[in-house]
Amino acid sequence: MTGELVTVLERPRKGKVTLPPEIGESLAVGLYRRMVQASALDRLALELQARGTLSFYVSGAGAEARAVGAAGALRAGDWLFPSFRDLGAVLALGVPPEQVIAHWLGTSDDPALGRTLPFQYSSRSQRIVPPSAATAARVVQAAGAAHAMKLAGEQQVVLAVCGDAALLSGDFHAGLAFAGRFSAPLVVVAECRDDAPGNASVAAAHGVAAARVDGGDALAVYLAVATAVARARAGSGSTLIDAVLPRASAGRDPLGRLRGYLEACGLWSAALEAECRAAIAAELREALTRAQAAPRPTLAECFRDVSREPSARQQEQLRLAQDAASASDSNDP
Amino acid sequence: MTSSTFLQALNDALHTEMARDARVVVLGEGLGDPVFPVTRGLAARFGDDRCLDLPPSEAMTVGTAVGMAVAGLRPVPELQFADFSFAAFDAIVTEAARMRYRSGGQWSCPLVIRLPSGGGVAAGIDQSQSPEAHFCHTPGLKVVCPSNPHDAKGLLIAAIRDDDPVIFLEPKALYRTSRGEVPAGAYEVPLGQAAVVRSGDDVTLVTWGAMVEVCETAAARADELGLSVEVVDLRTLVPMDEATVLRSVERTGRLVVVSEAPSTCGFAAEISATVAERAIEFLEAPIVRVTGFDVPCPVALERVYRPDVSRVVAAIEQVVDF
Repeated sequence: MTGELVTVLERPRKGKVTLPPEIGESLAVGLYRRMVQASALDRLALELQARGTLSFYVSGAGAEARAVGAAGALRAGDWLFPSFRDLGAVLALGVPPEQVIAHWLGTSDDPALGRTLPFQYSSRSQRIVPPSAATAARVVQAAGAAHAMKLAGEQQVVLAVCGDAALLSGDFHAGLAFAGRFSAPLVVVAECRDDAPGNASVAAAHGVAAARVDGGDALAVYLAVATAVARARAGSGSTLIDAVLPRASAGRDPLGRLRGYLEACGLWSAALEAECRAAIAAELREALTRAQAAPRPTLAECFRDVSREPSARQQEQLRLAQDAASASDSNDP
Repeated sequence: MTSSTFLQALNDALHTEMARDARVVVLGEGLGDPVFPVTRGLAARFGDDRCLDLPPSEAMTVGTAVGMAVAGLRPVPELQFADFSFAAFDAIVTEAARMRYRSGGQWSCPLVIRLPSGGGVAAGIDQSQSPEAHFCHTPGLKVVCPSNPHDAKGLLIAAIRDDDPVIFLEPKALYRTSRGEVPAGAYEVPLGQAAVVRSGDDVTLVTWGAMVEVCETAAARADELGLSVEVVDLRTLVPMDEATVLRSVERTGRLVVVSEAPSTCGFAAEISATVAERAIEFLEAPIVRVTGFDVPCPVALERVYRPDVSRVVAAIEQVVDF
């Protein structure tokens, strides 16, 4: 499988188009609906950014198939160490849109309590570990978490997602080398450009399996990750998956490609499309309204969670900060 | 009670905690045949999955430990020398120290990074540093440095049981030269608590690690000169036990801080600033620091670089004569 680009949507079609045997109808349609939701939320974020409500946002446009397809192959109890472009994965794992928006706005309903930028999602219940600004720290951490899962013995796996910049980082190689040496139940999905050589040789050097998949093909991504996850769960080790995305934006329409395929399978229609988009639009409008009504975290909340308990110094400094905040409030014209 | 060296006491702590808590794992370069055998016997007793022998990559050692800690283990990564912590600086400062904060308290990072630190063993400029100031300056990290075998075992056990990342500095000069009585079984020396190791009324010496013994000897020498010197062993740098330090200075009125790290922005400066802010009305003399120099410490310089008894006695006399 190494080197050969795995695809489903571009397979030669003879006669009736059908889903691959490993993918059921509700799964395939579910992946598509999730991608529509992710794309709509992503557009909302860009709108909020244009309005000045969000200062900083990294768009996941074009990554919907890669994000949703990969997360679709996980089960409850598995871990995700996401990239900045994993809004689709976060939604697929069950984080509701209102919580996503709360995170963007940094309200008290944000699990991260407004302490991070609007693409550093975290969720304890869904085992989503927030990325820092580093490109590949999550890969080496995911390798360690995978070892912990191996010791726990419940066949849980860890998925880490990174971009092509990660390959320049020592942490990427440290993580893969560890995973190869200790046979960790880790799957790494690396987004790469179609004009790059690919990572089969990197995977081989670290003693992990490799796969290469069309990153714009949600069904192919799902199959590749499901295969890798099954290997990891069975104790057969780690896989590095190249999710290849075309450099030219013209090639990037993962929604359109899957929609066309589902229509050809008789599983989708223009009517279903309209209904789906209307429902999502209503859902997001409501989620935005509720999220915007939530309060901001207090100054005191900003001083918590540095350690389990605030130190005496931190408590004293909080009082200084509160005094400074009220002094500046009263000085406002 | 057993008479143990500093190194044996640390080994004892690891055996004790790994037997008590299946979540505790150790990892580091060449654990199977380490430079300082603090991990001796652990792999044979607890297996290779809990005692991971890693290739020479500090980023891998600390980075995977962060992931293990988030996923429910209690990792105790070891680096061969404190100086090598810079290769894992991002993993320590950006990742371990901020995991709890960044996640809104959903995740924590209970790990203990063990660092053989300090000079006195002719290990050269890249293997003799005392880098505590870099970590004391990082919110989210606790920084601990024992000075004797009893505290080494008790502090390491306490650090392993702590739910937050701890930088655990082990003065390598003490590994085999420091010997003391160590209780059998599990016990904790609480983090954030200093110890007054010698009482006195005229001058307060505040210090930690390998310098505690130097200060005790200097205090004994000062005693012969008719001066009564109190020695405070901080044991934990962050969070600092300010109450014990201030209580001592309020009584003596004179403070000397002793640290083998370079002078500028060393932790001795933090102690000095804290006491000056909070106890100026009690001070009879300026605060004096006795420290290493703002140069690397080559083997050739080691004898004069690290504060010795004469330099500390001179500082005691300086604050008394002011």
